[in-house]
Amino acid sequence: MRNDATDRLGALFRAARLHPPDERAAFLDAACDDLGLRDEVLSLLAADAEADSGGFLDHSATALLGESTPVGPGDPLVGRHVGPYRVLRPLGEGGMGAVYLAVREEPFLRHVALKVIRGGLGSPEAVQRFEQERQILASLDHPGIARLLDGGVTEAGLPYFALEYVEGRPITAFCDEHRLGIDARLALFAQVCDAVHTAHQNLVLHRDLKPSNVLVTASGGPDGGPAVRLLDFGIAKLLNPNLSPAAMPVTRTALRVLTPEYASPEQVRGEPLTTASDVYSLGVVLYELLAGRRPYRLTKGSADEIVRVVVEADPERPSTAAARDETVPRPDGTTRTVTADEVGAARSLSPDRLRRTLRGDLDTIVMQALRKEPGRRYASAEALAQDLDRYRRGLPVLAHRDSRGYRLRKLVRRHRPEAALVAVVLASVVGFAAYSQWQAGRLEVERDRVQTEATKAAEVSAFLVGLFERADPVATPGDSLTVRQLLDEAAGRVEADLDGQPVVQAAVLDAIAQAYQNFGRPADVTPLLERALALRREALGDDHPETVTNVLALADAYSEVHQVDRVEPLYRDYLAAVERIHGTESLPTAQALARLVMLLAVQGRPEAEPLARRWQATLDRLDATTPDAADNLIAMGNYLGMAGRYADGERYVRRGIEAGRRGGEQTPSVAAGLIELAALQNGADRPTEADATAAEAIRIHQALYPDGHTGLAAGHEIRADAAIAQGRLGDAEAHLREALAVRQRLHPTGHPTIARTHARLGDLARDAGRPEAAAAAYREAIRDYSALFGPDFPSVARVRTALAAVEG
Amino acid sequence: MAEPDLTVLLQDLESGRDGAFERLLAEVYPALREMARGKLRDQRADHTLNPTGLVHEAYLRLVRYQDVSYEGRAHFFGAAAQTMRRVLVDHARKKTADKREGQRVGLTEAGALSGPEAGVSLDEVLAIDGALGRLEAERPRWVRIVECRYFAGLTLDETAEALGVSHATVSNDWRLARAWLHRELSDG
Repeated sequence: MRNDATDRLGALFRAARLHPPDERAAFLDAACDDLGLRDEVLSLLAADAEADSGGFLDHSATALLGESTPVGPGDPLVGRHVGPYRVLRPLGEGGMGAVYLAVREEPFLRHVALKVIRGGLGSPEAVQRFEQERQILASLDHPGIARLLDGGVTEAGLPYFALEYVEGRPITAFCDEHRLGIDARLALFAQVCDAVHTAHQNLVLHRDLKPSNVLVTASGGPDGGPAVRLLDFGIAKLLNPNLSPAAMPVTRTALRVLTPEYASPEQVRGEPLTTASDVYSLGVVLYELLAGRRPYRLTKGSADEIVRVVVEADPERPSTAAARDETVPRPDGTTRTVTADEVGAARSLSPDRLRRTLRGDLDTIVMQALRKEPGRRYASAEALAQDLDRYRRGLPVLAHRDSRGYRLRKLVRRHRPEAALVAVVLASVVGFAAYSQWQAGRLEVERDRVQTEATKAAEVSAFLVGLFERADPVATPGDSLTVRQLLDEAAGRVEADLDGQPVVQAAVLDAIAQAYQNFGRPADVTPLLERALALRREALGDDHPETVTNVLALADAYSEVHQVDRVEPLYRDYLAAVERIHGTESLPTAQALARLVMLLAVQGRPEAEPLARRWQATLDRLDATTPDAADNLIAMGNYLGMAGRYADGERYVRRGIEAGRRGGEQTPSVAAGLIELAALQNGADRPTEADATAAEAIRIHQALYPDGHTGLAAGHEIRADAAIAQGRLGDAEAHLREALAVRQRLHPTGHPTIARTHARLGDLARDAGRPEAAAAAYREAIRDYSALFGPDFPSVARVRTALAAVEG
Repeated sequence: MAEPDLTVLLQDLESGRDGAFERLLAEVYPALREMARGKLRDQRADHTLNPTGLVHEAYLRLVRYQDVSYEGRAHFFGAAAQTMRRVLVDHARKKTADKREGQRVGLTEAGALSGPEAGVSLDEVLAIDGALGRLEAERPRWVRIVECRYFAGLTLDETAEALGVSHATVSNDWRLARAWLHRELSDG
């Protein structure tokens, strides 16, 4: 019973205080029919006002213990008079001075905030700075800015000034304590913007906007509601040098005293500031008012870390931040969890309702204020306020989200260099789509396909961007995220995130697979491509170009991991599809035949021969001479060479090189053709020609592939063969070592060709009469082969035999 | 000063064991009184005493090597606030009595007892203590809040933690209690 009465009293008291004093009685008349309770509340309200104005219980009784405490040298003023003011107690430290609560008793009692330059800081520079703050405050006359009342010099000759004493609460605390909804918060924030804009119009930057410098009192604002007061222009700066005889640079002191969680990127970097820097800080305050969290928590970490986070990290959108629980540190080092429920409750909303309210325009407005680049933020505090006003009135807002391309560029910049690979893969997916789009547009056909490709590109891009943003290591410092983890997460999420979009899913799987490939995880590639293929068969059918391409990519992936038995059926599928699409007499069919023939031939399978004859006939009937046929002609020559038909082989290879040269002297086809030609020349026992051809091939490879290429290794190996044939064993070893270096660079995790080259170096050393060097090389070969294929691999036995021979 | 087994006391308090609060006070009171005196005696010229720091320091000193849960910490501040009320009221009484008796006050004692200072007077401390006694039966929560704010110098946030109520409630009740006290003392 008593508790109910107490709670009722408390609730009425609280509600009444939200009304202007002269309306409180009327409010209570309406809200309370218990006259006794009504009168008690009114009586307490009156006593509350008196207690406020008299500073009743402003000072803890613990002051009794502190009275005789010698005060430190930095605080000599408590209890003393400064001008007409008696100093009561310290309120805090400003940038350059100490702030005290002081009281002037005549002609009427008035509490003021007294700012006095700190003892020891009375250097000419500090005095000048202090004077500047006074000057700034004197120039600002706005209800939202704490008013300069008076100023002078203490007995000790230090300047001071008196400001209106604002007994308010920081804006965030005020809003939470009164459970203000979003609209009421925006109304208060509009007052803040207005005050900041006025300062800007007076060429004053605040530079330290944060909730503790934005106090709110329950009354005194527009319509008698809550009023905002901007405090502490202690590190404010005048924009117009004429007003400031010696403009102060942003000093280290200024940097140290600013609050990094509210500081703009340019500010933490110590760069010149503009009004856009204050707009940024306003954005942080707005973020906190709306979401109940700050964009960043910078409680620990070095100065460099702080700079990095502020400059690079993208904050979560407020709607996302508001929806999760957050653990925040307490001053004493413990932590506490602020739940989404609490945040919602402080806004008189359910967490879900809050999230939905913030999502969209408010997210966009806040993020525009928080852009890293000053020029991309709102042009002024007023523009920010106007956009919020448009939101409140239900009009379209002017803020716009970062374009996806912009965000992607930023992410790639941040994750450089690891993300570069993923980005390249992404670009290839998107680029392919764009190319198709361009091509289709030019032909003015397949309008639907263009649409699909464009949509797909956008979806793929959105998926990967979302992935980066969800798992951004900069946004969550300490959680170092590798691109591998990112890819693994991506692979896991594809189905859920792209539900109902099989074609897009498949494209993303392609991209992830490509990235795994680039990261040297070929074993992870095939399951993804299998999934992609199944999706495409289902959604697009077997003969769609994407399905066909997928079949080929999967086959290549299996051959990469030496699962050759999986390759053949895929090649046969591929051949069948290509024949259906392009007809039997076509270059694509010849190319599909080439793959199957080579696969079977290297396994020594007899089915290779009839297929090879079909292939050769197809090529002859096509009489292909264009660059796109070059590779196939060269492959034909290669096959014939393998079959021991060097002269026929050379004829096709020369045709291939010729076709390739129509597309340019130094092209991959020409380079590959020259390698084949050199190999054939070697096979035909013409080492001098082979050496010259291989040397040319190497030159072109070097020009085309500065980072190495298997063809480069092959060129050196051919030159080594030619040198052996001519008895130049030293040259041969040099070429083999070149080849080895190239292969090791290309396959840092090992490759059969590396093992084979070791074995060949062993053979060379043995033949040169250096058994110890030979044994060492053989051991390397055995180790590499065993690591790749296990100790039972035939080559291991062969090399062991050779090793035993040199050791014996 | 021996460090009491505060953990056990706080656990007793949390489990609602009879007399736990009294035993906690009995431990905390001498610690705080000791520190209040020691603080003043050992004062060096460059040492700035933050009165609120006393309670925090008492806490740290008592629980430094003890594992106290978050709830335990809150209970401690609640208990410390009541203790501070007794410490300060005892001192104010003694000082007033000394004045009445016209005694010269020793230097050490004077340190702990002197006033008024910065708007706090011995009379005010005693008057508020008396008024709180009258309020205790009707509004015990207001009394706890005044103890935290006025006698222990805790902030609103710390008070909210110590008493396990929301900041908004503390903020509102503090105003109410203060208004009530102001009216009570003005009328008186």
